[in-house]
Amino acid sequence: MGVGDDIHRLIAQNREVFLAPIAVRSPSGYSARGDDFRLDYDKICHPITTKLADEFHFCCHMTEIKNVNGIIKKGLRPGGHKGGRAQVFLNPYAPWDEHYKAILGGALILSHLGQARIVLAFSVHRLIGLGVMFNASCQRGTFRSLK
Amino acid sequence: MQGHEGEMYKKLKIGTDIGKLKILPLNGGKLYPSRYAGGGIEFPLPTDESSHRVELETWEDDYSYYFNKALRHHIRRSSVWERGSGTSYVRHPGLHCDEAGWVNIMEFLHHGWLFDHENVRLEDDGYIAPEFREERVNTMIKTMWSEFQKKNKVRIRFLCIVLD
Repeated sequence: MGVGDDIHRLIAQNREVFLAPIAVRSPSGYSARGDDFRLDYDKICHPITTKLADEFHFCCHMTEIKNVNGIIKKGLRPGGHKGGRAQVFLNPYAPWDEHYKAILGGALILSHLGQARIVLAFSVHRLIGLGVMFNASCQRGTFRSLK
Repeated sequence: MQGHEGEMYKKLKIGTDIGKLKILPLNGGKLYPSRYAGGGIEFPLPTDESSHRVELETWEDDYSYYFNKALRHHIRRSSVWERGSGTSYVRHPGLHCDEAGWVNIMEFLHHGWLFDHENVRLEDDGYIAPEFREERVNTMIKTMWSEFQKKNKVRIRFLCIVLD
């Protein structure tokens, strides 16, 4: 009996699907050095569609208050002004939204270091014009932007 | 999102036509062949009566940190510097991957930094016998499921060939 026959017999007997694992990946959170990002954006993300923009209107980025001046001056950058990341984390729901609570277990008013946080809202329609791309972070209901 | 993920699958040259590609469910599944990495592991889904919450041991939690770090920061780098014993840093080879970040699972299971790390399990000397591979794969699946239950985060994706 060959391997193929064997697996068909097992599936027929047990009514189960067998999977042969071949590769693993992280859904998001990759590091980058400056503009040197090692993956292909075209393979891991896609442009924002008007359908997505109409559905969410705004996406939110939570950060510590001390970072706001830098963001206003230099823009929202992956990894902050030090860099080191390829993506910016955005959430389609505000922290006071029930969906957000369901995703992250409640509004995070303080960071893990105990610093007060602030919510920055970005128009998804405007992000289309800026050519921002998204990929799923696999955190239920959230996505990350990549540029 | 489906279309975008489908593009990634097409980039993989798997050299077989025996089945379609599928992402492993978060709660695990039956793997084949068993001599490769064990038979897999499946955790019960939550029901009205029980959440079937899976808790990680401390060493499993450490593993989870290293899995995550390697797949995010070691991929497509020729080498990486990581803290060794004490305060010294040791150079380790990076991980090969395709343009979408998929890493061959056998290379991942042999990635020395992950499994030789002294803070993970002293008794695990990195020898890759099938029982070690089984434990490692099952630990990866367990950490993936536990973290999803606890934090709603998916930190590892397994790409599999469906044998049907």
